Amino acid sequence: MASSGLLLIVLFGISGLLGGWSQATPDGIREVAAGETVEADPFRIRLDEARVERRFGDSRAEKGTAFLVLAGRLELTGDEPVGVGAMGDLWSVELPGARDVYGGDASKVPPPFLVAGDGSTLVGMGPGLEYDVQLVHVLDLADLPSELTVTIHEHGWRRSSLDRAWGWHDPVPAARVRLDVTPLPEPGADEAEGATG
Amino acid sequence: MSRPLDRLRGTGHLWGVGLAAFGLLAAGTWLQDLLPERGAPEDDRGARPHVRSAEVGETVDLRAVEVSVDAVAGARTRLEFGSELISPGVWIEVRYTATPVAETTQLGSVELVAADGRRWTTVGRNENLCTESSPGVAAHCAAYLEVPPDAVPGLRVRLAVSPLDQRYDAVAEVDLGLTGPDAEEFGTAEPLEAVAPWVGDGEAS
Repeated sequence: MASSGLLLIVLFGISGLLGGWSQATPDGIREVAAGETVEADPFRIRLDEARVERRFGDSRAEKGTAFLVLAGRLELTGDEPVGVGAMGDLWSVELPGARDVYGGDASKVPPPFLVAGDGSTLVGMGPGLEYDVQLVHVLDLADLPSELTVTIHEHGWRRSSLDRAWGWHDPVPAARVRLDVTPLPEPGADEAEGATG
Repeated sequence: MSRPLDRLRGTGHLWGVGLAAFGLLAAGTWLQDLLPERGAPEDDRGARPHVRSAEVGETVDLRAVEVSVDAVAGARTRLEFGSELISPGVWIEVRYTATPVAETTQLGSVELVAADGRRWTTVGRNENLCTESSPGVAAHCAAYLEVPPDAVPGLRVRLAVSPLDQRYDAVAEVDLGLTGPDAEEFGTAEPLEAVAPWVGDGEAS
């Protein structure tokens, strides 16, 4: 047993010497302020604000709940289009009790980007296009945070080990964006409106 | 009396197996790095799709289907069955006709390629509104893809049967004949209304 342990230690040591235990992002994870642009291959993303809304588009929040809306800008920097895989892994935020606009659990799995101009869902995009985007969670009023931290992930360009096709894989945290959450302007009045609406 | 010797033999065997495994792994990795990348469709030159160039209005024989681009239009906004989609660039509408040759099929791959090599497929909000039709019966289809305005001059559309595997297949590449002034015109044009696909000789409903 002692020999097996020693062998494992030697192998781990050799892996370390060959770079196997180095950080995936050598510079570490950047701390980024609201409104600052983040280069996270293959995207360029900027998160401007987080705010609480009673209404979002044509929808009104149910009584006791509200929409938490993150707004920003998203661009694809590569020459090839990307689909739902890379876009879904671009960002994450931990919001206990959060749901998407359809009622699904969104506490850890992020909802998709919405295009700010028309409310359509953006689950893939092509090069050269910059979208004003929104990310929308539904939360109970008691669960609304006063601030939140969004983690932005970058991807690596490599072949798939399954079909050998080139693509963006292996998301790793590249930046953390801390956002103050702008609360509802008049929660009491809105609450009453939501109850009757 | 023989126990220390047995233990040494066991340890030596373990070290030998471990080092042999590590050596083989290292040698295999080194050899693989020496070999050219392989296994993806683009690596097999013989399997690359046969690109057939054409212009708007020309019919291209793709073996399984004959296809022609009938018209091209553009606008910042497109209307699709009641919803409005506003592009940060411009929407390009490509209306085309696909006629299967021997088997019921439909044209499943539409891509736009810019003069500088950038490429747009039917991911995200882009769509290929087409339907399958019987041999000899024309399917009238429309594709909507959004591109940045600077990509409009020289834009080409690539049409193929399969979006997944185009090895050995024929692909039509049609120059849309668009210029810089077209991009400006698309920026102020009336919204495009989605055209549902139809088959046969009639007009769009």
